[in-house]
Amino acid sequence: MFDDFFLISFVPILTGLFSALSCTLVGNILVLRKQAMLSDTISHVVLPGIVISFLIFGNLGSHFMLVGAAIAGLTAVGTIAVLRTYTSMDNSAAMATTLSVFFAAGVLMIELTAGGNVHLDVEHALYGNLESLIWIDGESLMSVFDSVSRQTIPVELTRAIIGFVLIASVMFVYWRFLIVSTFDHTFAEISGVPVGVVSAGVALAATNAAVISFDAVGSIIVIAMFVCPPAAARVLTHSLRDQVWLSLLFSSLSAVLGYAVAGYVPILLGFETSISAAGTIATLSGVILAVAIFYGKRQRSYDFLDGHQT
Amino acid sequence: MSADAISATELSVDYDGVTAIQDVDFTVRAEKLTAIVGPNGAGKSTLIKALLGLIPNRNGTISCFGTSPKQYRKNISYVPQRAQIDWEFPANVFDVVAMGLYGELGLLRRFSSAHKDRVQSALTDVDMADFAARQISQLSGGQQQRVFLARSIVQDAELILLDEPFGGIDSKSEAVIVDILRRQKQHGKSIVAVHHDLSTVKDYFDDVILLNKTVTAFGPINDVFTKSNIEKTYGVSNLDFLTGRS
Amino acid sequence: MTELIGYNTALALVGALLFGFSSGHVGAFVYLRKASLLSDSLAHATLPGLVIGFLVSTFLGMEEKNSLVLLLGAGVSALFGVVVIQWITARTKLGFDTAIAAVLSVFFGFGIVLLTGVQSVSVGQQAGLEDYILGSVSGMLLQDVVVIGLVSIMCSAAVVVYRRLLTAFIFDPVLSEMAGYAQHRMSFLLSLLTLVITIIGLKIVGLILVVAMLTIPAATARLWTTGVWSMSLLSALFGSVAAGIGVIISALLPSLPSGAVIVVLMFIALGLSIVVTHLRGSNV
Repeated sequence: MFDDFFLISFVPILTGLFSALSCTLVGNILVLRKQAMLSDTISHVVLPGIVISFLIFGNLGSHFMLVGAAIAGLTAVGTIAVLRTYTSMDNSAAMATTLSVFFAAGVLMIELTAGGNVHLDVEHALYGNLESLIWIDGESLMSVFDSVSRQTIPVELTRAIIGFVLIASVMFVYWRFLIVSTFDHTFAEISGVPVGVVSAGVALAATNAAVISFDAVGSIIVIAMFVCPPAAARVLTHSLRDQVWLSLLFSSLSAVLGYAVAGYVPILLGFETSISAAGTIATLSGVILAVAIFYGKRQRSYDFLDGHQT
Repeated sequence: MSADAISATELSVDYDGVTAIQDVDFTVRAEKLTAIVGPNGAGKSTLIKALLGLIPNRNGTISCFGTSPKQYRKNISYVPQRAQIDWEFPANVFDVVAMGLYGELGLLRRFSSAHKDRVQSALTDVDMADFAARQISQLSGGQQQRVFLARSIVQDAELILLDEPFGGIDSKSEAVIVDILRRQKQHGKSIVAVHHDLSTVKDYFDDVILLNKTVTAFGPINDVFTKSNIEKTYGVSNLDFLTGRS
Repeated sequence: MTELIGYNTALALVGALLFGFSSGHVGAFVYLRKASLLSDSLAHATLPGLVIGFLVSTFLGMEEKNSLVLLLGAGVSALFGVVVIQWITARTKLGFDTAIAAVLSVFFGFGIVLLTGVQSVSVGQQAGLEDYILGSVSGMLLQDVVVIGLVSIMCSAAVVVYRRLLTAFIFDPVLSEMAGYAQHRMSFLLSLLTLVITIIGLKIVGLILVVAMLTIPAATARLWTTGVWSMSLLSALFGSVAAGIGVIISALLPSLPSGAVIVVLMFIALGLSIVVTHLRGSNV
């Protein structure tokens, strides 16, 4: 059963892992900023950007896909701003409108141009295609060090790793700005932190994470990777540092175990095919969150006006 | 020192498209404790935001020690209303005070042991050194306020602006905080606070600005904080129960 | 009419007109309550229930794709989602936004697991299930239309009966409580209406886009009128017209999912309304 591990499972596991880690890193900030649903919006609105890049360049491996998705993400942010200025919409209505119309446009583009293109369909957009990332020359661990075999590693993995390194290093450098502008916006502004740039940067990082995860887990399950591991960690600790490390641990666990469960459990149970890896990853992250809430100590709420426990 | 910390001339400020402050002139003396006092909706918080350079003035000028608030920002520290803070944020007392040094540290400069000492000494100043590792949600209202005062001490700013520092805290903490502010004044800091409790203005502050969209009066407490000025500001005639005598 | 567009499309058209009307009607109140994203979360949370409903109806030997059982499953599933959202926000310091995002994605993910599981054990024709994700009116049966139509009429009737109470509750919850209408009952009523609209909309617009039915017509109507009642009627009208035209387009070009077409139509109407009302406003 494990003979063809490097052929079939090696690349999907790593792609899933790095996608999940990228989303979780950004998710920590979104959860603290009370912007968890921004991940919902962004993961939907990148679809038309991805479709257009796909139509122009003919495959999902193109790095222009990132550019297309980033443009779609920024257009969506602009649309939300326009809707909020020119209608009576609040933030949630503007996000709901924008995400549904962008997603609908993406779906229509896919359907109108379907036929010639084989690799992009709506199902793929919804729940990813982790299982399809086969490494043709992957025979053993040694293949990783073989420059010829390495060339056939699917570009999705390379992109996930580069994306993760990019997000992690930008967040590391701007960590102080991120934290101070999230905790105390006014104080950050008078301390000279460019709060507008930081907000835009968070949205851009979320777009980046959503795009590199798009192949792996699709546009909706990716929300689970943004939100569930940080939420579970947040329930368990008061320390920001612990929260980030715990969330990355939960995220890795969901990604690796989720793939394994999806791939091997149905076979062990005697069924022919497997279940969706992306769906299993999301479910597992939800289970971890539920367990954290069950066993995490019940959080006391304070009445901030008198400082006494209520 | 006789210089003015802040001077505003013909200042008008809009907030959300509505005139919040209309054509006011006042000065704030350096190295004094000054209260901004006025009824709800008088524009007190808007004035603080204008002094921080966060919202533009429609008209007139503000100067802080001779320059604009925006240019002077490095030397201003700000203590927000407690209601504006997410106290469940995963940070402990030390982390919050250390944020006061972020402006100075920038992005990548290492947080050295000297910085750590400064945070500790600021915590000692507000008598919170024993609480350094405490999560901020597990503090009383007065303790939370002291943490923010420590953050402002560590910034070592010349001008300290506070929005309702005594909002919803017990009288013992109030006395401790007044004491901290007085010590800061002795170190040469100029302090301006929005204050809502008329009965304690005389005890806590040196100067007062009476504000209700326009400035009714400003200056040393004993000259300005009179019954007639208060009535003019609040638009009611029987305030004896609040001010004690006057 | 049926000769022009065919029996099946005529059925779908009737369902879409009625559903579009009541979703716009209810949507006006959901919009004013600023609860759009909650309905998005509920819609996604229906997926596990849909699949389980499908399995149940298959094992019970019912007619395949028995829509009542499927919709019942969807309702139970979404209701469970509401309970989980309340559990998370009551028990932890996590925000409402985090709770609805977690429920949305995890329920949907689990639904996909079930869906792919059903496909791999192939207990029957599960092809119909995917129609509920993006909406498809091609396989609409008479019983579907009857269910959608009746429930739509009931929802609109509830809005008519409760319109004053709902308005008071949304505008000033405390006032409405003082007047003797408990906030939690009004809140429950509005959530229930949202849930029911979401479920009957699954077939026509699909679970991903149903939130648009509750949001876009209402926002468009708000541009044209200031009264709550006139806004809800106008919103119902917009919803109905968009759903009707969308279904006809989708019937003429069967590859296009009806939900996506309807959403794009509604957005065009919103864009035009913004332009027209602003031009008109600047001329006055």
